[in-house]
Amino acid sequence: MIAEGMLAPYPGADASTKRMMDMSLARIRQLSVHEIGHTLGLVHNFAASAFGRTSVMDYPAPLFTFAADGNITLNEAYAVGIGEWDKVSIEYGYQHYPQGTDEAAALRAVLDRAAKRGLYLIADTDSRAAGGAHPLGHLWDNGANAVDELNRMMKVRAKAMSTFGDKVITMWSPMSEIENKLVPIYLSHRYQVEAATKVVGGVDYRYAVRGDGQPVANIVAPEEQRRALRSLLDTIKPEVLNLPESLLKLMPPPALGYARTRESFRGRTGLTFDALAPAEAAINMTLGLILHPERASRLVQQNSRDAKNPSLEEVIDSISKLAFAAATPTGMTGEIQSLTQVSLAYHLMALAGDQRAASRARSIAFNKLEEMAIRVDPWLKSQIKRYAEDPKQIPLPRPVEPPPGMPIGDDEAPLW
Amino acid sequence: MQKQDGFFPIYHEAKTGKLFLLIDKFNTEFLYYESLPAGLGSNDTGLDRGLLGQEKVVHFERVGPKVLLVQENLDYRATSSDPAERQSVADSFARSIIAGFTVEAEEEGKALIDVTSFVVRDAMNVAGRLRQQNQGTFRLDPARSAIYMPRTKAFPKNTELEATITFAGENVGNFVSSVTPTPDSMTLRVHHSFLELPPPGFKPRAFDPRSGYNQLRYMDYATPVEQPINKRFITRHRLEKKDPTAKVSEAVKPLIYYVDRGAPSRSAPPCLKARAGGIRPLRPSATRTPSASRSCLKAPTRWMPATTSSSGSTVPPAAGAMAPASPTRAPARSSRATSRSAACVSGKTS
Repeated sequence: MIAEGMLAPYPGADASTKRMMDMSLARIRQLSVHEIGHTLGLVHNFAASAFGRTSVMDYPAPLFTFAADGNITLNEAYAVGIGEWDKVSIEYGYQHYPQGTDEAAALRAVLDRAAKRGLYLIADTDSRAAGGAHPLGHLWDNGANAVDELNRMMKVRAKAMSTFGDKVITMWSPMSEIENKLVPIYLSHRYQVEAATKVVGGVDYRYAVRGDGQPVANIVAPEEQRRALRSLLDTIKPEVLNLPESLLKLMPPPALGYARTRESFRGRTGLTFDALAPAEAAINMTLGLILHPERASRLVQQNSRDAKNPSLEEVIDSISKLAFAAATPTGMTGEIQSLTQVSLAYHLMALAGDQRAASRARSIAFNKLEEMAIRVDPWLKSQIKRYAEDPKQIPLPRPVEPPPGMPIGDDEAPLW
Repeated sequence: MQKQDGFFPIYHEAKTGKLFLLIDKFNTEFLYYESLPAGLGSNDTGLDRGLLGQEKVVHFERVGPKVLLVQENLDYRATSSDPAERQSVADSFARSIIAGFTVEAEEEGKALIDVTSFVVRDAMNVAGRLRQQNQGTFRLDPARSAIYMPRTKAFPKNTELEATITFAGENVGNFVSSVTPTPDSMTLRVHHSFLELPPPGFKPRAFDPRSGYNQLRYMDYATPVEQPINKRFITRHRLEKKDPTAKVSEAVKPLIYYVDRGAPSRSAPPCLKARAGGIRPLRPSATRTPSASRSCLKAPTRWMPATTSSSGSTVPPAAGAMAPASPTRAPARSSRATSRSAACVSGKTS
């Protein structure tokens, strides 16, 4: 489905599905080797994609690239065969050592050689946590650097959105099916957003052991953190999130017998497609990740340890700047800017009230909320006032969340 | 009664539908695990075809008229030559008697036990899982449950038992009702495998957090105080070279993966090819790595038609998804069992 949305491959009578089929088969090949890896005893290595697709034990996002003609191609969607990290782990577990070998030393040497080549393991606990801090351990990501790849992914997304239309469905399919194809394209950057967020307040660490000479726990460079934040905020700019009028005219309510599912955008306009629901979902996702209680608490500490690191105040101010960019917001982009203000207020309330967050982080969130109250419209101001009077309840409506998108459910995922 | 000889011989009484096992090995450890050979079809619930339960090292004990199925506690041990020390640690932590049977007949130290209700039960905790996921209250209905003979078989190294089980449901949730013909009557199958443990000789390998393996951990109370009490190993197969002196050798027993016969072939030949093609790449490294295999692994690779998975996904798994058929343990769960069980786990299901 994502391939169809990316390529808009059905110009008319030609309904060839070969490119999409090839990509699906490449994915199944990759997945069968992944599962066999588990039967050999292997765990996930979610950092492996950052070293050049070095493991079948990572979760791969399909890599959409640009062909020479500027169109999106699926040619490199999935890597073929096992990678360099897989060879390291198989050597560790299955290399035979003759009698008399100092096995412990030999095994250490296997891992030392890997570390020298820049190959290492970052597994589930570190990579799945929404508040995680590792700059490279991510699910469904690509590329050597999470921020660079997010920037690249946004170009792919822009291209796919520019061609998105009725050509994403085959002839004689209900037009309402276009809406379903929109979800994975509109949110095609979602896992890369998650990845880039972990750079903010990030810590570059290894499962280091004493004496192995690896980096242990270094705060990600302040400039890299700020670069990640800028790229993240670029993903929720109104012009990026706005859906063109030409597309909205192609999306009727679901045809009879083709109801929306839990994998559809959840809107606030009932039967008709909610043109702002996708934007709300994207904004909510990104701000929720940036202002995650653990990340916010970590930002406070990192800035206290070294004033060069971005502070939580600075991060919130950057979001604020975007939320109040246009003085007199108008039209659909104006609506999206208003959504950003409401979403920011919501997440500040959530952070200020979060028992898991450090008290300093909560206090900063509360203060920023009060600052914000001066600038917003009377309705939002009254909501902030209500929150200040009764912080146990967030008076704002819960922002719409992105529909589930992982091919393997969040709950069961640790087992696979 | 119809008899099948094997690891534990099976007797089936067609008239009453009862299933008996002849216990001819007492106090001999073997491997026991449950599985779900016929699933619900809702991957949200995780009750997928081929789902594995918890592997356990167990043995039968005879106490007067009773036969007990005992699971020793392998998480807390004393690897000591002093039997008193071993006993004190064994008595300090609970063990689990997971089933009790009454001897129906006996001769020459062998006991015949009725395992019907042991086999026809909710061994995969289906009701508990569905309750946890707010999918309603489910109760196993014995009237609509029975031994499933086509997959109840005995082999020299393993005995396989299976049952069709039907759950009567109340307040059935959407995950169940959307995939069940009559939602308050949910019929699945549960399978029990008794497997001979491999012979001693497996060489465990130390765990390293950097290595990329699942950890198998236990506490050894006989450890000298200056050493770590937690013993950590990786889960791996028993792979041995035919020629230990050769740099590259054939495996004594190679790892064999069986592709599900039900994987689309006639209808969608490319899928099967894709799967075979996907599986192939690991093979060279597994055998080329000069370690080679001696494993009794027979891992089925299952094809799972899925109800969700691709439609809204950013990553397409196509029409079905491959399920891991991990014969060791579900990955990323904390792995705790004996090194022997990790060495070699096999399912020769019919």
